[in-house]
Amino acid sequence: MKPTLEDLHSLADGELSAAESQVVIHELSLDADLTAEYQRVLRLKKFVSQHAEVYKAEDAWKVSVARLKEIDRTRRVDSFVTRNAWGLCGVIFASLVVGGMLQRNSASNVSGNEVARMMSSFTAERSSTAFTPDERKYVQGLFNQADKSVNTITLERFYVGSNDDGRRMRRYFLRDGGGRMVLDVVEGVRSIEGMTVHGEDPRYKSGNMGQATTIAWVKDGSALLLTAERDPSSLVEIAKRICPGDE
Amino acid sequence: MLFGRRDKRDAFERQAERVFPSIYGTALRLCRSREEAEDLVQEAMVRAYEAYDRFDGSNFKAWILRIVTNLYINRYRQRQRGPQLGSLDDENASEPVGLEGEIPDRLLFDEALGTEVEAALARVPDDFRTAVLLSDIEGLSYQEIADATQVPIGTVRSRIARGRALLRKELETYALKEGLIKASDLDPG
Repeated sequence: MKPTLEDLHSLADGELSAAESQVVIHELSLDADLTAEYQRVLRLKKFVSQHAEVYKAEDAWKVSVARLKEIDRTRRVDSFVTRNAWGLCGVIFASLVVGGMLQRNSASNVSGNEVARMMSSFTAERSSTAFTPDERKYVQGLFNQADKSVNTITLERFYVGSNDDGRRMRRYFLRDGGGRMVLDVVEGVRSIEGMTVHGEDPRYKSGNMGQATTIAWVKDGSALLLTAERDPSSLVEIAKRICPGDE
Repeated sequence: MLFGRRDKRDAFERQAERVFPSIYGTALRLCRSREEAEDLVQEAMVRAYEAYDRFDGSNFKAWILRIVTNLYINRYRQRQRGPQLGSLDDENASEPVGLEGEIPDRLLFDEALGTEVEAALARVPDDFRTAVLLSDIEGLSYQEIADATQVPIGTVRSRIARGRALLRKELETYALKEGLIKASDLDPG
């Protein structure tokens, strides 16, 4: 049986079995046209393999290698996270708990919500209308030469005591031309969070308690809370007069 | 674990680097677009790397070209598929073509250059081109081509025979058009 064109190509490609090859080769020897066609197949095959272009692929190779590295890196992270998922969750949870406890128990950070409670829980241990020498020294240090800077503000009386946090407090009842003011000094406070910053000076924060306005600021480890029925700006001006060294 | 993965990547890269020009060339010849070929190569490399544990260790080049071809057939070709020539189905593939009026090889092959081979190959319809390039340029066996193109081995035989005949016609047409040969050079018999 005469070989088909496919048989010739299969022979040229070495895809025929030994027996099939023998049959086709035998047929080729009997048919010149078939032999010529077989030769054409061989020449075309050789020509294509020899003349096909060799493309430069260096850039594509570099991109591939970088991509494989990236895959490994991603897998490494995935693997670590998967293997330690419970541990990581535990660490995050513990951090949240510890952070919350620290925040709650921190003696030096006071939230805006605590300010009102601090002020309202004040318990006086002693009251007076005149400074003892020690108190005068304290007030001078606090008010920064109070004799000069507070000369238009009258001290009516003051109380020394503590609030229910156990913080030492002093409460000064002051008066000037505008009326009465209360200044609370709470020791052991380094920052006040959560109150509104008043004006352009971030040191002064304001809040309202009923009709009254409170201006809060921190000086030398104490929170100073100035409260009166006035607008916040005028209270800030008084606060700057009380503590001129802060400006 | 980490060292194992690094070793695996090193082994993969060593083998892939050796055959990378074939991977890239095959992708270019399949897609006929540099941009798409580069996408195809990158995707095939990632697929191959992820499946490297399942590579049986026999013929890396055939294995990775199978991935390239499968990906091209399943994804890229659907995207870029143009109209196929209706007369080129496999049923006619066993019929000899170009035996009459053919240009003698000495004229045709002496004049043609590599770029012309690539241009002629690019004009051969997809299925036939894939079979010819995997066989004649990449040296894959019929079985390996059948695996790569997901068709029976008999279809591969047909496509190679038909594809080479078409390629030869394209080379002749190109040579005539470019004036490399004349119509009078046609072999009368």
